[in-house]
Parts: sequence; C-alpha cells; structure tokens
Amino acid sequence: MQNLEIIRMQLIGFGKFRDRTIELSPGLNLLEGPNEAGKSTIQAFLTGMFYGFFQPGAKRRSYTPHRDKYQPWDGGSYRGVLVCRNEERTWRIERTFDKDSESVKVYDDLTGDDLTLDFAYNTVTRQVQVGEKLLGLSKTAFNNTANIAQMTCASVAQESGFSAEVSDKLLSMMKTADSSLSLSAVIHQLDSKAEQIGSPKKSKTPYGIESLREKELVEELEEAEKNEAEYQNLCEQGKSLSGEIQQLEKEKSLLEAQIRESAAKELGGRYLKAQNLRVRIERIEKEQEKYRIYQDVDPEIIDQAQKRLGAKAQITRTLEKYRRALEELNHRIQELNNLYRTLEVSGADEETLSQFDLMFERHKNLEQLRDELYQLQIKKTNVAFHRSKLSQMDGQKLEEDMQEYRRLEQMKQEKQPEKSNTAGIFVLVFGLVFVLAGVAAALFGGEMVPAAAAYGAILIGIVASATGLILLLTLRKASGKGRKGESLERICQMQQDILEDYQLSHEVDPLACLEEMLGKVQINNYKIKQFEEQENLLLEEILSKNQRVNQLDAEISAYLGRLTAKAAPLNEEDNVQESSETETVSEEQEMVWAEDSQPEKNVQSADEVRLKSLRESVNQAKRIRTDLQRLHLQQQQIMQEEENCKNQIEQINTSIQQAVDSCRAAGAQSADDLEKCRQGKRRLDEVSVELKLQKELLTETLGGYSFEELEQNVRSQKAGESDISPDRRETREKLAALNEKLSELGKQAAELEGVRRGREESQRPTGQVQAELDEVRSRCKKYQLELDAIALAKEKLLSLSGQLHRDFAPQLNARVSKAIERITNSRYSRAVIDQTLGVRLEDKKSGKLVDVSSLSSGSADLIYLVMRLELLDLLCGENRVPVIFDDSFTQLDDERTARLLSYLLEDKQRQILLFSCHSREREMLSLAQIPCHVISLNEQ
Amino acid sequence: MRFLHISDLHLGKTFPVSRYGQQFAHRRRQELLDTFSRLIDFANQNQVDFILCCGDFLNSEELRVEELRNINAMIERLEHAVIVAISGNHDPQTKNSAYQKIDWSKRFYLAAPGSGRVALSAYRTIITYHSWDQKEMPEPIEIPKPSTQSGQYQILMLHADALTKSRYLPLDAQKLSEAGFDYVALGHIHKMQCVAPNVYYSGSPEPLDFGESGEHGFMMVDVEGERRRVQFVPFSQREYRQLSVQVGENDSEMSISDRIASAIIREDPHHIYTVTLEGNYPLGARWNIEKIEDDLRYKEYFCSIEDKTRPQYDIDALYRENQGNLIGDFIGSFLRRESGAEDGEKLDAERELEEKALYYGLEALLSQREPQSNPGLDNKQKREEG
Repeated sequence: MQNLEIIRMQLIGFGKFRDRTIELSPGLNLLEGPNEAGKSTIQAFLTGMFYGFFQPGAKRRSYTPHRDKYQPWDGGSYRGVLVCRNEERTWRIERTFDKDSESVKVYDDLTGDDLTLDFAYNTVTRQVQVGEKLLGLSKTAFNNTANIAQMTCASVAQESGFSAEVSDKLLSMMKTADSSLSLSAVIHQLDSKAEQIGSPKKSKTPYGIESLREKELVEELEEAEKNEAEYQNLCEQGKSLSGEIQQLEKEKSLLEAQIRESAAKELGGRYLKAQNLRVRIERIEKEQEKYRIYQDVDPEIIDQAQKRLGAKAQITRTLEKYRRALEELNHRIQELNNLYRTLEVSGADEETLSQFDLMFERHKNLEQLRDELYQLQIKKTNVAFHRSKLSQMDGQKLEEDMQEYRRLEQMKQEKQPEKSNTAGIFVLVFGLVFVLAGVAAALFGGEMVPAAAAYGAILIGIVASATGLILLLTLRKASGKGRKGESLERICQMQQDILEDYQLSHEVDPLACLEEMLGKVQINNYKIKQFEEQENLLLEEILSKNQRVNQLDAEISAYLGRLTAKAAPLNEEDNVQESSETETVSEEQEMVWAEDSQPEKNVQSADEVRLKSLRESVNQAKRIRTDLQRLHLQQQQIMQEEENCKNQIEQINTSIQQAVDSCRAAGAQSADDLEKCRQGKRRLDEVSVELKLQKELLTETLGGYSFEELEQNVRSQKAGESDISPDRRETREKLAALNEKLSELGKQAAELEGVRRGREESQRPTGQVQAELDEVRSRCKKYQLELDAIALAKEKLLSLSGQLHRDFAPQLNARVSKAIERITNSRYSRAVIDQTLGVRLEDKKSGKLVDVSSLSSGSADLIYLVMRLELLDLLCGENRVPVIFDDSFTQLDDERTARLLSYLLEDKQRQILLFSCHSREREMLSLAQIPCHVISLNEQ
Repeated sequence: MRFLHISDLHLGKTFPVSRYGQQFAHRRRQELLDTFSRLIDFANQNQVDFILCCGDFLNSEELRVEELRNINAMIERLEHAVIVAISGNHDPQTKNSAYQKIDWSKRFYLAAPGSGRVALSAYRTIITYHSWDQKEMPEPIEIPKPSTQSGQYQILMLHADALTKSRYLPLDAQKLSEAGFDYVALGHIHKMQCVAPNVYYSGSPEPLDFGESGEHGFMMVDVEGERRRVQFVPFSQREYRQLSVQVGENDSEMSISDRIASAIIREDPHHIYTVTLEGNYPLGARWNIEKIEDDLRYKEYFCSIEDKTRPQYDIDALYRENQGNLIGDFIGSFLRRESGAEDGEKLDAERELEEKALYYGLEALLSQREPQSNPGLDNKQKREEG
C-alpha cells in the first residue's frame, strides 16, 4: 500500500506566480480564491511537475499549449519544485520548463540523494518519467481520473465518441495502468489499413481493381474458351480449304495439259494459215525495211516546214515589191538630184538657201540706194554744170575791164565821145535770159520741165549770149578804131576790145552793161560758192551711199558666190554649159552697160537680174530638197522593211534547214525533199500497222507455240496420227468451272483468313488470358491474405478486450454500485457498466434498468464522478493518489455535495485538493464538521 | 550421329506484367522465339542430324496463327536436321491444339498422342515416346519398352516429372534408367540435370521464371559406334540470378533502388535478377516494392524484388516486456496458437497469415502506445541514446 501525498508546491516561476510556496496537508485541502486567483494555474502546475507538458503519444518531442500558457509573467526562470511523500520516502521533484534548460530531477528530500536514474527514461521526451512511477498512472489516466476539472465529468458521458475512447483506455488501464493504448484507435488503424487494400466490392481500391480485372478476365476467358472451338474450326476450315485448293490446282494443271494436247489437233490448219501469214509478214517487213529510213521522220515538223515555205514565198514577193519601190525611189531621187544639180544654186548648202530671202530683201535695199545715189550724182552734175557755167565770167577782169573802159571812156570823152552799140547788148541779154531760164528749169523744174527742153533753152541762151557778145565786141572794135584819130581811135579800139571781150557793143551803154555784168558776176560767184557747197554735201552723201552700196554689193556678190558655188559637181558638162551661159549673160549685160553712159547703174541691174533669176532656182532647190528628204525617208523605211523580210527569210531558211536536217536520215537534202519524206513516213506507218495486225493474227494462229514448235508439232502429229481426241470444248468448260471454283475457294480462304485475323485481333489466345488471370488472382490472393491478417489481428484484439472487460466489469460494477447506492441514498441499488462505459442503473423500486443519460445532468455528473473515482481506485490498486477537484461540484446541490464529500473522505488516507471560488464548500464542510486545511490563494 | 535434346521451349509464353513490367514481359516473350531461331542456326552449323524436343515446345494456348507460321518458317530453315517432338502439358494434342491450326513443315515430326515409336533408319535409331493429349497426367504410366530390333540406337522421349510426385506424369528415374534405353530424353523440368544414368533433363534453353537460376541450354549427343558423348550446351540469352540486398529502417525507396542497381551492375546488368530484401523495415512505413521495381525497370534493370524484411521489433522481447497487458496478451494469443502445431502446407499458410496478423496488430498497437520505450531495445541502450 502506497499512499502518495503532496507536501509542498513551490512555484518558483510559473504563470502569475513567482516564488510562491503552498504547503498542503494530508486529507482535504480547500484552495479558495476568486476567479483569476490562479486555481487552474496550480492545477496545471501539478500536472506539469509530474508529467511535463509533452504531447502524449507523439513520436517526436512536442508540447501541449500549456507550456506556453504558463510561461512566468515576469519573464524569469520557468520552474518549480514539488515535494511529495509516500511510505517509501519523501520525493523532491525539481523541474525546469525553460526550453533551453529543460530538465527534471528527483531527489530524496531528506537525504538529498539524486534518485533521477531510478525513473524510466522516455526517449521521445528525453526525460525520466516521474508521474508514471510516483502516481502509477499515465498522464492521460491521471487527467481522466484523479484530475477532475470543471464540468468534465458530465461531458465525458455526453460525448459518446470520447467516452468510447476513454472507455477503451480505461479498459486498458484496468490491467496495465497504461491508458495510452486506445483499442478503438488500434482497431481504427487496422480498419484504415484494410481500407487501403480495399475489398472486391470497392471498385476503386487496389483490391477492388484487381478483383474487377479478375472478373473481366474470367469473362474474357469464358468467351475465349467458348469461341475457341469456333476459332479452331476456322483454322481447320482454312486448312482444308487450302488443301482443296491445292487439289484443284493439280487438276487444273492436268486439264490444261489436256487442252494443250487437244489443241494440237487444229495445228495443221493453223500451220498453213501461219505459213501464209509469215509470207505476208515477210513481204510487209521488206516494204517496211524499205521505208525504214523514214522511221524518224516527224510529219509534224515537215508540216511546219512546208507552212514556212509558203510564208517564205510570200515574203519574197513582198521583198520584190519593196525592191521595185526602192528602185523607183532611187530613180526619182536621181532625177531630183540631177534637176538639182542643174540649178545654179545646186552648190549652196541648206543655210545659204534659207538666207536667200534675206539677201533678196537686201538686194532691194541696194537698188533703192543705187537709185538714190544716181539721183544724187545727177544733182551733183547739175550743180557742177551750173557752177561751171557761172565760173566762166571773171569778176576781177570784168571789174578791171570796166575800170579800163571807164578810163578809156573818160579819155574819149576827153577826145570825142563815141557811139554805143546797143544791138549787141540786146542779143546778149536775150541769150543770158535763156541760159538762166534753162538752168532754172534744170535745177528746179526737173520733173515738170522735160530735160530736153531745159537743155534746149540753155543751148539757145548760150547761143544768143554768144551772138550778143560777138556783136558787142565788133562794135567796140569799130568804135575803138575810130578813137581820136590815132589816140582817139585807139581809145575806141581799146574800148571795143573790152566790149568784145564781153560781147558788148557800143550801142548799149557798155558801162551799164558792164556794171550789170559785174553785179551778175558777183551774184554768180556767190551762187557758185553755194553750188560748191551743195556739191560737196552731195559728194559726201554719194560717198557714204556708195560705200553702203559697195558693202551690200560685196555681201550680195559674196552670197551669190556662195550660192552659185559648185559643190561636188556630178555632171561636168552641165556645169560648163551653165557657166558659159552665165558668162554670156554677163557679157551681154556688160555690153548694155557699155552703151549706157551711166555704167554704175547698169552693173547694179545685172546683180538684180541674177538674184531674180536665182530666186526661182532657190525655191526650186528648196522644193527638191524637201522632196528628196521625204524620198530618203521612204527609202529608209523600205530598206528597213526589206531588212526585216530578209531576216524572216533567214529564220525560215534556218528552220527549214533544221527540218531538212531532221530528215537527213531519210535522204532529204533540201526543202523539196520534205514532201517525199512525209509520204514515205506515211507509208511506213501504214505498213507498220498492217505488220502488227498480221503478226497478231499469226500469234493468234500459233496459239502459244512458236512457229517452229508448231511446225514440229504438226510433223509429230502427222507421225502419230492416232492421237486421242478428247472433246476440247468439254475440257475447256471443265477448266473454266475449275477456275471458277478455284477463285471461289480463294475468295473463301481470304474471307476465312480475314475472319480469323479479326477474331485474333478481338480476342487474345486463351493461354494469354489465363496467364494474366493467374497473375491477377495471385495478387487478389495476396490482398485477401493481407485482409485476412488484419481481420485476424482485429478479431484477436477485440476478443482480448472483451475478455478484459469480462474480467474487470464485475469488480467495477460492484464498486460503482456500492458507491452509487450510498450517494443516491439507496435510490439506485445497482450499476451496470457496459463495454463502452455506458452506465445503467437499477431503480430499486421498479427494478428497471435506467440509462444514465435519462437522469438529470446533476445526477449523471455525480454518477460519472463516482465511476471515475472507483476506476481510479481500481487502476491504482493498493495505491492512493491525490484527487484534484476543480470546482467540480457546481452542478450538484448541497445535499449531494455533502454526500459526495463524505464519500470521498471516508477513505481517510486519500489527499484531496479541492479548488473552489465559492465559500459554499467551506460552509458546508464546517457545517458537517469535516476538518480541512483551507488555503486562500489571495494570501500574500 | 549427332542429335540435340531440347525441351520446354515454351514458345509464346506470356510473362506476367506485374513481375516483368509491360515492356520487358513483351521483350522476354520475343527472346524465346529468338533463341529458337538461334537454335536452328546452331543445328545448321553443327551438322546435327535430328533434334529431339521433349514436350512443351509451345505454350499452345498463347500463340496466334501468325506466330505459329513464323515458328514454322524458322523450322523450314533447317537444312539437314529434322525435329522429332512430343507434346507436353503446355502443348497437349487436344482438339484445340495449336498444332492443328496450321500445316507444319515436313521437317517437324510431331509424335501422335500416346505411346509410340518412330524409326530414323538413316541413323539406325529408334525413338520410343509418349506424347501428351491432356494438361495433367497425375497417374504414372507403364514405362515403354525399347524396340526389340537389334543394332539400333534406342532413345526414349518423355515429358514427365522424375523428381517429385506431381500431377505431371510422375515417374521413377531409376526405373527409367533401367528400362533398357541408350538414352532417355526427358522434358518438363527446366533445369538441366542427369537424374539417373542415361536419364537426362535438357532443361529449357531459356530460363522462364525468376526461380530458374543457373545456366540454361540443351544437350548435344554424339554417338559413334559404341562411343557416346553427351554434352550440355549453354544457350540462354539471359540468366536468372539471385541477389540479396540488406536494407535498414533508414532506407528510402530511392536508396534501395540505387543499392539494387549498383548490386546488379556489379554482377552483370544483362541478366535477370531476383532481389531479396533483407533486414528491417521502419515501423508503420513499409516501402512500396512495386515502385522500386518500376524505377529499376525504367533504368533497364530487370529484376523482381522479394521483400523479406521484417518489422523492426523483436517479438520475444516485446512479449517479455508486455507480459500481462494487452500487447503481451495479443502476442501471447499468437504464440499459444503456434505451439498447437499442425502439419503440412496448411500450417505454412496459417503461419503466414498469423505472422501478418501479428505484425499488423503490433504495428497498430505500438503506434498507439505513448512512446515511452523502444521495444526490443534494453534500458541500457535507451540511456545511452539519451
């Protein structure tokens, strides 16, 4: 008998507590405190000190959430000391919960011996198992029995799954005090293992798949076996068919031999026919040989060549046409050239010709200039004439004469005045008047008075003047002789002389006349001066014009020179003729000019004539040139065409030559031979066709033999005339039937083969199916073995647990019954606890069994609590362990609580730790006079 | 005179996909045909006069007509030799036999069902045989007697079990030896052996299952007058070999696969291996053997794994430690049964079942138990670990 009691709890660092020591006494300890006072913390401390905060059943060291939950609030060391005592010794458990320095040590509190090594070592937690040894309970068992937390007792019963778990743990504990073995979990594990394998019915599990496959294979095998006979039949049919076919083939070859033999009968006729045919064929072959050279002739090519020949002829004709047109053109060009050459301007180039009009215009200007020049010269002549006329009288001499005359007169006068010669003066005056009139007419009335008349008047004037003058002079002489007898005479003579000089007579007052004459002379001198000036002006003008004329003239003559230059004279004769012609013309002109008193004017006329005459020629030359150009263009075009034609002809010639070349083998030399070739080829074709026909006929006639064989056959036949003659037609029919049958059988065989192959494809050989089936079956068997093994294990475990229950149940029932009878005040006399820990009570009055779940929750709680305690006693056997209640009585009424407490305390040796937040328990205890050690958690 | 004694070619045999993998099962099937083809070449090259095939030439029910034609075409390649064959339990001459499906070559002589004789007069040889027409022959037959004709070489051809009393024509080897034949050619057992004087099993030219380790081939017999020379010609493409690999609780599937692969490489990767895994498997986490096999096949190693690993705990120690609790009771319940021993195969099966049940139960029980101690390890060890 071991009775463990806790003496002291030292919470060095645990949750809210730091260095808190709680001393406990044996028996009932009431730990009072309001909520948050630390009741649950102390409870957890107890569990932690005995067992640590390890997750039960874990394969690796892992912790429950409590470990973190009860970390010291001040962050200091996380540890505690628990001192407890049993009969053996006083144990001091020192445990550090800190992760780094986690450890547990057990000492003898009295001697200080280290007892740690006496405890079993757990490889997972890597610590010795303290609680297990001291309490004799696993952590789970401790928590499920001795450590009764708030409200847990009722909930155990309410959660059936959990209760089942508890039940099998408890069941296990009954014998082993090891609640870690959960039978239901073991069973569950085995079940899940079995599930993994599956069953034949579960088609998605491995076993199910195999079993399904097995079924399929069995079906396939059955099908295959069923069809095997049929298949075999097919094979045999095929075999027999092929045998039959072989047989028929033999028959066929026999028949064919027969037919060949019988065919020999007709050989004679056929031989003759064949002979004829051979002769014919030979003849045809000869002909064919003859025409053989045309074998390679391609009529197509010849056709084309001939077409080209036609085209060539046409082109040649066109070419001829062109040639004629060209000739004509050339002719015309020649003509035009000749014509051109006849032209004076034939030597001029195009530009010169085109300048002609301009030159002509200039020529007109020149003519006009010449006219003007001519007029100017006439004017000048006139002026000169007048001047010359006027200049005959010398004013000086006249004055001197007049002086002389006067002196003579004076002298005469002095001696005798002398008679004047009036008639002479008269005639002179008359003459002068005429002269003046003529000059005036010539100068001023040029156009109105005919030149001849003017000149006539002048002439008359001059004659009259001369007569007058002579008269005067004679008179004067007469008078002069008579001057003073000698002196006078002489004086008169002298006077006469003077008068004579001036053709004056004495009849007229000679002095007056002389004076008059002097006046006239003076006027004339003035006039002459004027004329001279005029003449000079004219001369200048004439000179400039002359220069201009000469310039133009030079230009024209240069141009003419250019115009009439001979360029590449074609015809010498023409040229000579032309030049001589021109010469004649110029001579004529010169002659004309020579006759004329005004040669300059004549020369000018000759140029004009020449230009005019050239004008025609130039125009013609231009026309001819244009024509020539046109003709040349035509000529070029035609030549181009001609060239084209020639090229075409060349091409045609080439292609024809090609055609000819292609037929050269057939003896073609030129295009003329092509037709021959074509005909030859045609004949060859005809012959070939005929030959083929004849040969076919021969082959048919020979009927598979060569001619020599036929000949031999015929000969041999003739030798053995008595050859059997089976009915050929009949044999042939037989053969045909045989063939038909053969092909029919062949078809059948092919069909059969097809069917057989189809069968093989759709169905595996039975052996293969069987092999797979065996394989699948062996796998199924394996699975089944596994399942059986699992089932066996399960069965054994269940039977063992049932046995345990059977061993254990009566004890438990008796103990629980006793306790319940007491607590319920004998209302229920007996309790029956089944394998799932369901409790039923027997109502003492009715004798009926009542299920706990039908009782009030308070009663149920109570009953489960009792059961737990009884279980605890059972589990611990002789040992007594402290029982911890954490506000477990809240569901119970006062009466029941009192009964429960008295039931608990009946066993004096048990230490009880009662946590409470109410004063109810204390009051009740004091009322019932139950001694207890009250510890207020509010202390300190 | 030279003849070959072959048997058990099992042409057309289907190899189980689960043990060989899809690809290799197919390849192996083809290899049997290849070996037969090589055999034909061998006969042609070595002036063989005739070939005796002692049953199970075909896996009759696993061949299609096309394949039969191929086999027939191979036989046609024989230049000189002929094949004299009897049928066995895998190719009995039943109604649906493969032999009925095609016309066989003239070089292939299949003995009619039942006992009979065939004389090869060119070689002064008389062959006495018994050919099968059913899949099983549980009862022994009367051993045929040699022909009375003298001066002939007497051969007996049988497809029979001369080793055990099976359902496949069990015969006594000694009696066969004493029946008066010059040479008794047997088929059915796949391993070459001489079971009694003059009584030979040629074995199968190719090994056909994982158990069939060792060399495979056929017998070549040369007879010249009184002198006779019997020799075994190894001929198989591959051998089935045994390997055992030690594994431990720390191994993963990958590491086991690697270890097996390297073991195979050390041996010869060309062959086919039966790999026995030995050692302990970790608690509650057995390896997926199929996955390991797949992985190895993927790497082109051909093996079948036999898992002989055990859970890591020691039953006796556990029993001792758990006397009186559920675990102890559980183990005890099995131990009690075992002591009440029964006989024969049934016991074996039951023992296997019980062993499995025990392991399953223990696994579940121990995994539930709060890990307070390591069963099978003593306290001292625990301390050291701590």
